[in-house]
Amino acid sequence: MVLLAGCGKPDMGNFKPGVADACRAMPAFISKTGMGAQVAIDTQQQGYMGLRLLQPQSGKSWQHPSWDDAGHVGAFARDRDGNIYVAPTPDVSLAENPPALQNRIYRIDAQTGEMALWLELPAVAPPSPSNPFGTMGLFYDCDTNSLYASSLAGSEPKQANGRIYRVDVATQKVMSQLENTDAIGVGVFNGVEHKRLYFGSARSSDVYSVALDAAGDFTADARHEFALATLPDGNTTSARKFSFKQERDGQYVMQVKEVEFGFRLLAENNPHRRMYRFAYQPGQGDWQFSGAFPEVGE
Amino acid sequence: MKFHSGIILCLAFLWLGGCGDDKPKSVTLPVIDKFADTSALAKAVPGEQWHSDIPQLADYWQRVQAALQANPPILMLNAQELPDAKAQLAQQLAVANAKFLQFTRDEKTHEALRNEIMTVRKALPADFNGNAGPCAQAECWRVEMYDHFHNASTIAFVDVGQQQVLGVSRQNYTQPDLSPRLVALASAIAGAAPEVQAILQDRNRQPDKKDFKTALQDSMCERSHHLCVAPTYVFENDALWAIVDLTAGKLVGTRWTDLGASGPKTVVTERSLENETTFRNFCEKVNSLSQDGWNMEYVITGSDGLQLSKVTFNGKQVLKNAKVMDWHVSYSTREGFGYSDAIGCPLFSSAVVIAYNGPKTEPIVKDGQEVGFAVVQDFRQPPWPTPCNYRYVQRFEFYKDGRFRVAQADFGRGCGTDGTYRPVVRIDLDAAGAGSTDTVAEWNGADWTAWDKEQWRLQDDAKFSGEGYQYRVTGKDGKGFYVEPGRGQFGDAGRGDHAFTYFSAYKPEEGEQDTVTMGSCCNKDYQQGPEHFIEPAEPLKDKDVVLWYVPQMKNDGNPGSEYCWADTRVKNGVQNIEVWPCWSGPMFVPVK
Repeated sequence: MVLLAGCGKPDMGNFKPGVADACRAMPAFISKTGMGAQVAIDTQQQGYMGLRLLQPQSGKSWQHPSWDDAGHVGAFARDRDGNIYVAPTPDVSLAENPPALQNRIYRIDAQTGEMALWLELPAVAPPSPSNPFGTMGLFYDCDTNSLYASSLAGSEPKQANGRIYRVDVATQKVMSQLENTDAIGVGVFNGVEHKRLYFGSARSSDVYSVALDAAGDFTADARHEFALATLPDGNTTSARKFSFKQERDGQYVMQVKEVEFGFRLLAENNPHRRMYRFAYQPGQGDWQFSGAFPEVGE
Repeated sequence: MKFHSGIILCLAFLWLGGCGDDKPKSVTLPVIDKFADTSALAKAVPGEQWHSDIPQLADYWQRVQAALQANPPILMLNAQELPDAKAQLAQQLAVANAKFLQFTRDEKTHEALRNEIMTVRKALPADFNGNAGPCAQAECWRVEMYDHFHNASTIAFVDVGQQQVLGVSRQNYTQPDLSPRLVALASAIAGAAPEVQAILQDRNRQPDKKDFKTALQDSMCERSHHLCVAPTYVFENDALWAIVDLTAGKLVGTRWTDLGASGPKTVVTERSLENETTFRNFCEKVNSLSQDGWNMEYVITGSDGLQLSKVTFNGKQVLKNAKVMDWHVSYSTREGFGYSDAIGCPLFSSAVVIAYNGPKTEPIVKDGQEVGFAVVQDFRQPPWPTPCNYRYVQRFEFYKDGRFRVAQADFGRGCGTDGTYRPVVRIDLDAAGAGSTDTVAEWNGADWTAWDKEQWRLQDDAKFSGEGYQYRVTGKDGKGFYVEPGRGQFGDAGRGDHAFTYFSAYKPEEGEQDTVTMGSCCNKDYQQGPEHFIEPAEPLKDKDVVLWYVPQMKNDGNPGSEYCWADTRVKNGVQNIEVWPCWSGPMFVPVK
């Protein structure tokens, strides 16, 4: 009886509802840079390449010599130890971001600040000049010590070959993956019912989610959440980045940043980019749109 | 895919074995849209023809023009459209309010902008997010106005009892519900469009296409920032969307969508129509053109712009192919700052400046006579002309007398007024027919001197024949072309090319295939990329040669002398982007 009851119902764990990446630590190396504690990780890449630390007030910046080794970068995520995981992302040209080197994750060591290749993701096909993208979205989940990464490597106009991976940070191994899924932004939130990974389609403005089990692996419980295009005054852009926080009144909020995406290079100065806010509805386990605002910061 | 056991190990083994394998699970998303190939952009039709075909549009346009002359410049709802006296009073009170009028004229020039009252209705509880303020006690009316210039909405709450405006808010990039007038107009424009009529009147339609209902769907014009909407024709299993641009009064395009329950709803918009149509028709297939004795193939590449190939005149090949490899942009006041922009397809490409549509042909008229035609391809970054975004245009001119020109221009606006643009153009000439060997000669001030090896020259250091020719490229039969660089003589406001020219011996691996960006953005000397193909210099004698042409244009944003520049102005109350292109490119003149 126990055996039969278990079949088809994975252990979904018992996670405390709320933000799943709250444990992220500030890297220890920052204290050695002389930048102070109030610094931001800046990937705007206006006049420089890669990451840098920025004091928003003074405009003072600092960059480790290795931080431009991956060329232009896009998504990044910090883990509980302060390590920073970074995705290379071509921007204005492929000269600094050869397609063959895009389906990777780099890691900035929390202690030394040195950036080095951490993982090469297994793709259906490598990136190419007609789809130069590999790793796109990154999100760290504290509960399972997992790094989620989306990749568009090998996708074609009429064939979605992208994947979303769960990488076990401790072993640096891919433990689970969603096939045929072209996604950009990814983000994890612990709902009332269970943990879900939210992801933005690279081919439309749709946002989907998939339930994660106790280990953080993907289940078959996937659903469409919303589309940026059908929100009041929405847009046909793709969801580029997810972030979650808890407001002072206890309300959980999801913020979604957008990007106009067409599997072509991304460089453009768009002053009209927006950020979409949603409030968590514990009763329904879903998100209610609460407004769109001009995008600020990374 | 692994399941967390949480139970006794021995059971866990059985449990996994009994519940399927340990492979990762996949989620199937509706990424492949079976109707994606049905997108079509409407053919350009002059505004006058739309007005003559659609009386409602002509009437609406007259009212728009009258409103632009009025003070305040607002197209209001008339008594027929808004019969309720209180609603009319609310509208009158709103348009008399200074804050409501704040953005109805251009801030600098005070020109009238196109504003239009969309809705006047009683305020609803949902309008206030739970806090109705003074409207909790009063009879409030909500007045919504759309600002076509800024693509923004202004909302006023009016207490008609006290005859005062209680509050005004403004939302940028927000389009309110349409007025009944515009709903009807959208349907009229869609219904009158030849593209829609052709489908609806097709007597051979499938049975499930015999009957349809009409509906109005939300849509958007993300690139033009115009007010757009989608009248749809809903059939049994699918729907035809017609995207109508109400600001311009025209059809943008059409597309079918599935009505099935599988997956989320497809939203058809200006951007999706332009991307899908351009990619399918001009990136995924090679097209051909035949006109005035000229024949050619053309395709939009992934990163080398529009490429013409196999170009013949009167049956003889003169160009193997020609394209723009890159646009180098550098800024003089910021050392090393600039970009190498690749131009190309809007989807699945390495381009950063993209095509919104395929190439157009247009006649070249001189002294009232049509002397040839031009193939023109436009590339833009979507936020253009906002700063640090670019627009480039390729223009290939073909004349009835056998001349041709490979030209291109920047249309601004870039990151400042200290920019220099250097397009890297590859021209694979066939001076004496397909596969011919060529002889390159340079004018030395008195005669033509043959080049015996690969090299480069700066136009500013060159000499020109009396006709303005810098080079002569001929085959063994003596036939071929003179190369006449731009020195401001082509009547296109070009100020001279100041070009680096390079002649290299043809090698297929040297730029013939679609090539990612080459060379640095910011070199000021001859090192623009093609130098790699002439160093070390190889003999040119009896070789098929390739001409690399890198003009240099310094931009100018000063009023009155703009060059490589763009600015947004007011025209008929809406945004009109004025451009000052900097054209460059050589003319190829047949050697008689």
